[in-house]
Amino acid sequence: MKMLPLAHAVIALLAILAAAANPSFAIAATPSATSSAAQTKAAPPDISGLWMPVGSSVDPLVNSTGADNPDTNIGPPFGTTPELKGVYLESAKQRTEALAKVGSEFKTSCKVLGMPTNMVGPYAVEIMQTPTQINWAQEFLRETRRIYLDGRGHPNPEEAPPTFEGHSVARWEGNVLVVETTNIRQETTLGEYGHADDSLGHGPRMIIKERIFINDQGLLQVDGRVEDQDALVKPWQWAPLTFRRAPKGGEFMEFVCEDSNNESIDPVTGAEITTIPERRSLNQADNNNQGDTK
Amino acid sequence: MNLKFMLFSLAFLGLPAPVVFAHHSYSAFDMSKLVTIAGTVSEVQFKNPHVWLFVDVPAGDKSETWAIEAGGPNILIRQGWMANTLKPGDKVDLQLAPMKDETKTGGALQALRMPNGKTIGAWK
Repeated sequence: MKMLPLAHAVIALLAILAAAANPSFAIAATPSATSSAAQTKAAPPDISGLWMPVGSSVDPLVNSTGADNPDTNIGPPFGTTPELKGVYLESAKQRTEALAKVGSEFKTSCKVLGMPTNMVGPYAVEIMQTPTQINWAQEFLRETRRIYLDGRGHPNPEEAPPTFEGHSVARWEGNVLVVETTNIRQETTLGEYGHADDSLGHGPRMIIKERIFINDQGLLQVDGRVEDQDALVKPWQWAPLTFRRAPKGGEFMEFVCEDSNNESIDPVTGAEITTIPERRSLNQADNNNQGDTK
Repeated sequence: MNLKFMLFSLAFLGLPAPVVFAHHSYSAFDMSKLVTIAGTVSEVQFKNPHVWLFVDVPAGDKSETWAIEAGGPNILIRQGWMANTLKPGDKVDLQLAPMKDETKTGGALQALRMPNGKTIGAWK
């Protein structure tokens, strides 16, 4: 009995060393497989509810007008940048150069983002969880991922055409939801906000592997690893995405990007145009055509 | 603080958090400039995908109207700016990034002081 504490200490030390040697562990605080396996009998956590992307304009801890803010708009969308290769690298370069010419960060669009970009959508996420299916809905462009937990496999890509959200299956490993997504349309891009109009945003065999769990801070954390032997030099691990529970009583809101959209693309130059909306009522100022004179 | 959290913190020390974005770029605005105005609300268009605010600002013995684009209702309602919070006639102070097209008195809202004393955004 006297040896037990020492034995525990040795085991703990070995576990720490093993964990520290695991690069994926060093990147994110994903609960280890060992602890997950020990908890497989327990009921999975309930992640249903409304979640706000941490640091976004809907985060309760952020005070924002919602317009672009140069102070906070820093870094790549996923915190890390994938290493593209071949035609996919060339395609990304062309998009970057075209945007740089007109001074835009990305091409304005109301088209659904798809995976993985949907995961950095700026608005609230509503999760509906059942034992056999989890729906992940992002308010921003009304995108809903359906994640199946009933043991089904992915469809044959030769039979089922790819989709923007792809096809997601998952299982619970203890408190961690382990998700695998395939069959994603190649207009979606990696580490960018926009689309690849040439359908070379990624390869046709891309697999996105996510580990979703409540972290030590009580935030919903999504670790993601993208495997794409056609487009990536090596698998791309994005920096953990985190979501904070919305204040009690908060509700999912409708957002219609196409409604009265004042942003458009100049067909000649490719530059973005912001059009001041027409007034609904005339004001008392001298320049009733607001914004047109100065 | 447990080991996993410590490793997590170390791994990301000094790295920027992933950013989130709107549905469009702000290339029509000069985000390096900040214009401060004080005026009277003449119209609020509380709509998707962006709320627009029209503010009359004294200019000599006349006034000019500024058209200011804010975020969408999904953001602003959660910041406490509801559809009926601002009304024509309300006095407001604003900071905005002006449109690059200097023939327009328009901008992207960076901060707003409302009549009830509440400030939306970071006033500089």
